Amino acid sequence: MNISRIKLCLSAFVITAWFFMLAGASFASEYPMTTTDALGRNVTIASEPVRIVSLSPAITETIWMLGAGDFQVGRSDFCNHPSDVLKVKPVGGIINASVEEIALLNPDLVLVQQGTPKEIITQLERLDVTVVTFSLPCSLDEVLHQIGEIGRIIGREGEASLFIKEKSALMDAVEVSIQKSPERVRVYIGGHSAPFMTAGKGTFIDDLITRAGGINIATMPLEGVRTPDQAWPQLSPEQILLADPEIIVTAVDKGRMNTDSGCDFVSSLARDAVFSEVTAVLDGNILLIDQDVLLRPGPRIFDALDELAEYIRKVSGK
Amino acid sequence: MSLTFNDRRRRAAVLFAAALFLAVAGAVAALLFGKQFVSPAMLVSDDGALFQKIVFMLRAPRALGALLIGGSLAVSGLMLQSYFRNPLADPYILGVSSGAALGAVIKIIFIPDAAVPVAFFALAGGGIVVAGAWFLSHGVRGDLTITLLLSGVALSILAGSLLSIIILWARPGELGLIIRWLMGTLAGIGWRETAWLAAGAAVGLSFAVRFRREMNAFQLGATVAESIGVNVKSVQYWIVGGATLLAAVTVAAAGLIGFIGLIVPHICRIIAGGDVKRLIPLAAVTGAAVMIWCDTIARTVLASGELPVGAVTAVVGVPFFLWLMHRGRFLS
Repeated sequence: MNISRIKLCLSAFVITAWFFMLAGASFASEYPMTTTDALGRNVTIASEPVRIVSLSPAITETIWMLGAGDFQVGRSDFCNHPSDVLKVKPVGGIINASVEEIALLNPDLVLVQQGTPKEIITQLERLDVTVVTFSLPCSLDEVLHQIGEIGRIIGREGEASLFIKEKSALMDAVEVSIQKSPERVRVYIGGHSAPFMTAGKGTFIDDLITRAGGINIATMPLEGVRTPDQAWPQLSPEQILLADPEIIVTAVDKGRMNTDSGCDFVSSLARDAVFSEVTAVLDGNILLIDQDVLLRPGPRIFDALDELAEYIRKVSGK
Repeated sequence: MSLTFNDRRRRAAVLFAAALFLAVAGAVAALLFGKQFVSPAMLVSDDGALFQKIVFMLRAPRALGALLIGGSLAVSGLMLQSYFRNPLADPYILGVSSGAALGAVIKIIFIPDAAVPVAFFALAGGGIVVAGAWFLSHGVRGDLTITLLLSGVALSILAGSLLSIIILWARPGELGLIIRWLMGTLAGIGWRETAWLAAGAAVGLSFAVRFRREMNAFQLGATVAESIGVNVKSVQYWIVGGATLLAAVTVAAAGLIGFIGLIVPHICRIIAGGDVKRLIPLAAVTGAAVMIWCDTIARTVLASGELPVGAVTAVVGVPFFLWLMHRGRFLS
């Protein structure tokens, strides 16, 4: 009786331990690991990184969201979120980062986004620093995939997969909600003064508009107008008038969101020769979003999705 | 007050000694200073491995590269100013810069993933534009120095316009790369780039030295040069070719760096007179000295990151040049 009870306890213990080991194995990243980066190179990461430098605001936000902020020792001048990041040593902007400054931090992993000068990467690798380059995501799925990959290489795979699960659910919920109204709302994302630069084909912002239930005026087919084929095209005033956006989204500095200049923007649109004729302005459908949230393909882009989808629902329900 | 031959020679010697001292001191400073002061004692300390890497893999090749780039650009400018008899001539006047910029931007925007480095496209672009200018200026009646200059300027403007059209297709990340390239930086210079620069400088400089007398003759005009026995037709290939090579190699390694190639030869002329024989070593050493100090400023002055060196050369150099020009007028 006693012996069988001990046996039972033992086997229960073994099974539980085994289960935990399995669970642990599936979550913990194993080093050394190899990753293929955006430049098509196989980069080997020898051990779990504890001195990370990130030259991209989106990657920095991902590192902190995954709870690895304490391991970041260097950042770009533009990395500013969350606010604790500001305590991390800046090493320069994205194009003028100082290789020497990065090297002095003795990093075991440098994460950069495409757009970082190749010479900086080459020089760092000449000093035996491990550099992984990420592409600029072209869709929200790619943003999630990138967050997963960052999580894997910095040893935060579990946290990353939780985030991915949560945001995939958000995207599904938004998709269900927009299916209720078949009409797509025309959206223009950009400034109100020439050149009217906006996000075009193959950008994560175009994907964001589509997923939120809108249609991007820069990629929507218009009779007699050629759709721009650039990723970040400049629209002509005629194009904007012809497309007649129902919502205008503008990225603004966070500090100016709810201040006079935010109101100035709205009232100056009403006075503008082009925009005063546009439905969005006539109806007052102007959405200001923090530029760091809207323009960075990082974790907070899903906040922008939520906000834009909500706004589009409100406008189309009117 | 006019200067005698001996005055000029003495002043050339003083400038040469001063520039040489500044160049050497600049090289030493470039090894010691950066984002952190690294003393020789730190190199042999316990955690010296990191400092050794920084000094021998980053600072040393970059310092040598700066000396070579400064010298190359100054001599290139000197050669073209003498050949064209034009004070506005600089290494970029025949379009090597805009051609190189066009080549680099085509690579950055349309084939970013190709294994061939940007420098190769820059060299090819620069070479094509200068060769085009050379080809177009032949068979035109008139002084070749003028037709070559005009076709160079015309093609340069054409390449610049194509560049601004192509930039419309740039994605935000690439815009940064293009701006960085157009402003010039020595951040990418390692030992390999330095070797290329040294090879280019050696060939270009040897052309300059070999044809120093002919360049003196060209300063009096192609017709005069011909009348005193210079084989104008064949010599000008070597002069323009040598100057283009010097400019192209620096552009490929560091992007566009203004001011040095235009102003350093003038500074040397104001001080030491117009004899090309004397001006070649003077321009080379002065250009090297200006460049290494400007790059040291570019590397160190910001709290984080670097300044584009092309901006530093102009900000530091232009006031000095204007001051010298005003003083120089009273002297000579």
